[in-house]
Amino acid sequence: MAKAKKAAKKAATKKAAVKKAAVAPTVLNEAAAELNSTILNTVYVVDDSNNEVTLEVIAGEDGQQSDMDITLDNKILADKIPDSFPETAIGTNKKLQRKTLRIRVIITDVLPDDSNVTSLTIILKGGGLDATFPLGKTVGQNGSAQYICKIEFL
Amino acid sequence: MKKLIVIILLLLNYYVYGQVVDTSQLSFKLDLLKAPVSPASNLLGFAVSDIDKPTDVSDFMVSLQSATGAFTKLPTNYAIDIAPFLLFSKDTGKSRKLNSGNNIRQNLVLSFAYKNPDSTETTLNKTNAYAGFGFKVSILKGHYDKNTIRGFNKIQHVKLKAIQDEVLNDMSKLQEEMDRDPELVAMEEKRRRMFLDADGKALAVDKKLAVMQTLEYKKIDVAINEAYLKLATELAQDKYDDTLKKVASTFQVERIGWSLDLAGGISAEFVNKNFDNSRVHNAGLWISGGYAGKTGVSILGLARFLHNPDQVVPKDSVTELANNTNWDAGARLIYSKPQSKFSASLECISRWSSAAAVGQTWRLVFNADYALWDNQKLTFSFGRNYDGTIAKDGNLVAALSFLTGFGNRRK
Repeated sequence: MAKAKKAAKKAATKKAAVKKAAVAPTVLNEAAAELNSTILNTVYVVDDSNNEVTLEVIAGEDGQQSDMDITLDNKILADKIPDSFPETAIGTNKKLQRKTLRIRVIITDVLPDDSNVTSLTIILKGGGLDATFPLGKTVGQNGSAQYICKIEFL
Repeated sequence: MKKLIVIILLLLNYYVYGQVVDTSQLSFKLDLLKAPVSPASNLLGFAVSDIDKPTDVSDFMVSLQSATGAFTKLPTNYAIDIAPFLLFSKDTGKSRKLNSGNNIRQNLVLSFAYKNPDSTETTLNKTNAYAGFGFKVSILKGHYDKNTIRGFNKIQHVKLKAIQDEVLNDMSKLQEEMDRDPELVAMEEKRRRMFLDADGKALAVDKKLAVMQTLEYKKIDVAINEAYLKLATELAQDKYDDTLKKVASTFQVERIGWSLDLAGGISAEFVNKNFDNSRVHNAGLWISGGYAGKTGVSILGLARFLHNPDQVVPKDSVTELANNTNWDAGARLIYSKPQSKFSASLECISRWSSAAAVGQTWRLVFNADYALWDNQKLTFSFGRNYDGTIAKDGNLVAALSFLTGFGNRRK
């Protein structure tokens, strides 16, 4: 009986994992990825629906310090925040059409024996296709990387 | 307490000058219980400053190109350390946060070295060429203590944050300027039009997504990103770089907990520089680990295997050419507190040599140092070396030394 329960639980976990993998965001910034860049200028597809689009920005690694500005056209979404930007609804598909998201981040490597690879990951969900935009740059010890990103909602 | 220790060290200095000391004994290394950072270079005797450490693929290619004369010849002397997962990986973001698995990926270093000795070479055979390969990985690194985290948070909210805010203000202006560039504006408009139909109306979502898969779209997207990068590089100012680096570097780190490092390497000797005729030159394997406590006391252990084929080893009253393999095992007790100027350590190593005349031997060294000012240290060491030819009657005394650096202070 216990064995059957265990097997059922295992199967359910496996199923959940498969489901999770199926909805994983697609990496869309092939151009920036090839450049191994701190720069991003791309497009995020939205439709005419009233579904909310969410934004999450993950900045830096352990032992690094980040500072971030995010604007949507003229609206300030984040003003010099020291941590990552948590998943937040930034507007409906319809309202976001032809608007531009700008993200500026500086990441400084502080603790020397941790990673010197700085990274910034932008995750957009709820539009035409969930998308992840990963960026990264290796800096020298105590070095800084400046990330400048622009995403148009079309 | 610290002043008392300095006075004792100075008094001992007078005692030490009363001894008969072989000057060659003063140069013995105090920090033997450490795996080499770059095993391959270590086996072939490269100086740390001669090792290339590329941080990205471009750096790596430039380094390789420069060493090989644009890929036309083998390098003369070349040593390189690469962190493969960091150098070639495109994986970023959440997945790289520290945990035990990622710890190894972040720390794995592969080292490669090639040496073609010239007439100035004193240890290697000038008629042969040498190549080495090695690895180093930290399986456990310990974790930061509370003071480190507190200090990090303090930095985070005060000095560094203030400068980063200034940088962000500049980046905002920079992006405005970039977005006004006429060529970029034209390309962006061209990309925008790809999402409209003939009547200028927005395409359906599935059609928009299909557009993004076309070669034409990908080409313009790459061109826009390249132009954006070029503009950012041209217009960016680096006036805050030095200040940021200075503030970030003032932070001293201390890890506590368990640590475990593994390193290994092997080098080959190509006889008469002929790649068809090779043999093992030397090989080594290092395992070091220990525990660092909150009070500044830590203990480290090391096991080391060093293999040197065809080495001159003593036999009775003469020497012979034979394989010399050393097995070392040792421990080191260290007292060192973060932000403190004083540190001391006691290390003991036992060596088993395959050379019958050497057999089993040991060394024991006590070392203390006090940082007087930046770049200047008062050091004291006292101990017994396992090399009988250097230490008189098996005991040696290394004098109190004053070490100072000339030129620029270390950055």
